[in-house]
Amino acid sequence: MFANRLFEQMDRLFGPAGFDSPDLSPPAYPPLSVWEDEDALYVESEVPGLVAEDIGVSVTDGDQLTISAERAPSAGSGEWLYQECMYGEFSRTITLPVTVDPNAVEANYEAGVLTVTLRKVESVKPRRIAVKAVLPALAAA
Amino acid sequence: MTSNLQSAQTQKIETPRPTMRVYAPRVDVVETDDALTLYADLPGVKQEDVSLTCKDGELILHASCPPRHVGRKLLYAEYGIRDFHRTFKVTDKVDTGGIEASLKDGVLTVRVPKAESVRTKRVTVNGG
Repeated sequence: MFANRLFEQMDRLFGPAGFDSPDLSPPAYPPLSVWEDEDALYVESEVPGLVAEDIGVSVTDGDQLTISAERAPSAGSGEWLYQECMYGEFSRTITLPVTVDPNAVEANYEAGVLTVTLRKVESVKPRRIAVKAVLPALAAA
Repeated sequence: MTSNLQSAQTQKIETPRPTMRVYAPRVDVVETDDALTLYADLPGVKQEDVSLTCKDGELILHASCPPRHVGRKLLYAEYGIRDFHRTFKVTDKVDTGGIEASLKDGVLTVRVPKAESVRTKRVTVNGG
């Protein structure tokens, strides 16, 4: 059997740094990267070999993102000489650094890369504060 | 995807050499009676950015992977985005002229047919 069944992973990406003992467990799968701009977070994952329709993406509590899917081996019949690619079911949940709108989540899968776009709620978006000049007369008063 | 199959005209292509840090893609290799098939994970790579060359007994895979999310602020990363590069030794027991490759959903499939002389011959046993 060539499929590796991966354990469900729960990560807190942006928690406080600590000095815990070295983590010798294998890295979580799938690997994630996160970008942002003023309006949204972009969670990206390199997960080649999937079927787009079978990828599950969900947001709960405004800041919990879960990605899950199953990858079937690419090969048909034959004898495996070498295997490095990851197969099997996976599920990973991360805590986002800001609250996002669960009704405005978009997921795109292209060339083996999943990109989830999560719109920030208005209350966490950066606001430019207008700086007003204080007239000398008012300041003296 | 038969339509995406392309024959590797290997000797006509200059062998690319990485000039910067690259990643080695994860690879599976499966053997059948008539061929070796290589599956390489190349997430984020487009078909036109894959180069596959065969020269001096080496099968060289190089894939360009341009930056993504340009203009956005990177908050967290568990992987980098760089070109992929990996070299495989090939022997004279394979038919390098018959190599075919296709790319789908970030997985490159490379079929390397065995030379006729080393293919498994199935012999029909006649009953009598």
